Amino acid sequence: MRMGTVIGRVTLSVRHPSFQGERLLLTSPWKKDTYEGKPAFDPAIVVYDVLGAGVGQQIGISEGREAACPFERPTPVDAYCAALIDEFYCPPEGKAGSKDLKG
Amino acid sequence: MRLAKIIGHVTSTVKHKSLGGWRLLIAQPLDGEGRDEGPPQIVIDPFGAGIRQKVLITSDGAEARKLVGDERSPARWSVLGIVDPEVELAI
Amino acid sequence: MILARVEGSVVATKKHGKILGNKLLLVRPFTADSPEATALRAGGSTLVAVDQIGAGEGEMVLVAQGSSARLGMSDKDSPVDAVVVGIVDTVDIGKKIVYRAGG
Repeated sequence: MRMGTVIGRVTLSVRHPSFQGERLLLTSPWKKDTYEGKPAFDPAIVVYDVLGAGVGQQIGISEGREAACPFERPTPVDAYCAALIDEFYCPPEGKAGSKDLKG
Repeated sequence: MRLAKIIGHVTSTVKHKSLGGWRLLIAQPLDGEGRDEGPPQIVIDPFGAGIRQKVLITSDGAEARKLVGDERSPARWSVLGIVDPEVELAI
Repeated sequence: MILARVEGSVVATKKHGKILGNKLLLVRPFTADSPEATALRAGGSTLVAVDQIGAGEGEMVLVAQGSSARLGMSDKDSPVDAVVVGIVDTVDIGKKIVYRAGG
């Protein structure tokens, strides 16, 4: 999973028949720099969500074929919200002992 | 499979049920020279790897699904092993 | 998934047996750079996606890629790596609408 910040929502007027009541999150995936507090992100992608993530929430994004695994019938989804992240602990290099809780 | 360095961990209360009870570590993939390569991945860890430790990770979803025991799991990346620390050869 | 705008269609009379009868669209990815983005921007790498839901030129669509894409085909062995899974109605970033169909 990659970490991502939910920045918005996408709604559809026409959908693939396998999509049912979909919630779609526009999400900015994190880079290494993002973990260090810098406002740098990879280009936003659209993530299928059943957990109820809101704008501003940090989420764990499952990508690739695995993103489609939770669906009972074949569903063409390549990014899936697998976790709402409460907090992360990522001490800066060289300061392994310092506690830096964010989230 | 990729070499990676553990740089942290995350906590999550609301998540896919297959991820319940698993340590979720943040792993930074590395190139052959030990430099960061690509974005960090959140990985499932059955080995108890610690921060700064070098590990072997795999994107084999079939292995991740076997590990968590759920064929419907969205898990993809998991830790396959902890890399032995480099030993300085004294000649 | 990614957002993309339909720029045209591709006609190939002679093609792989498993994609016969499918409409192929030329689409340009659109994305947002950060949570502070105020508009979508065009991305690079125009791609060809199978369309089974009737998207037209100029419309914004949602595209699933990679090995998940074939899950959107009736034949799950189709050699397809991008499929249109929805026609986008709205996209918002924060509380601001940055795309509305027909708007």
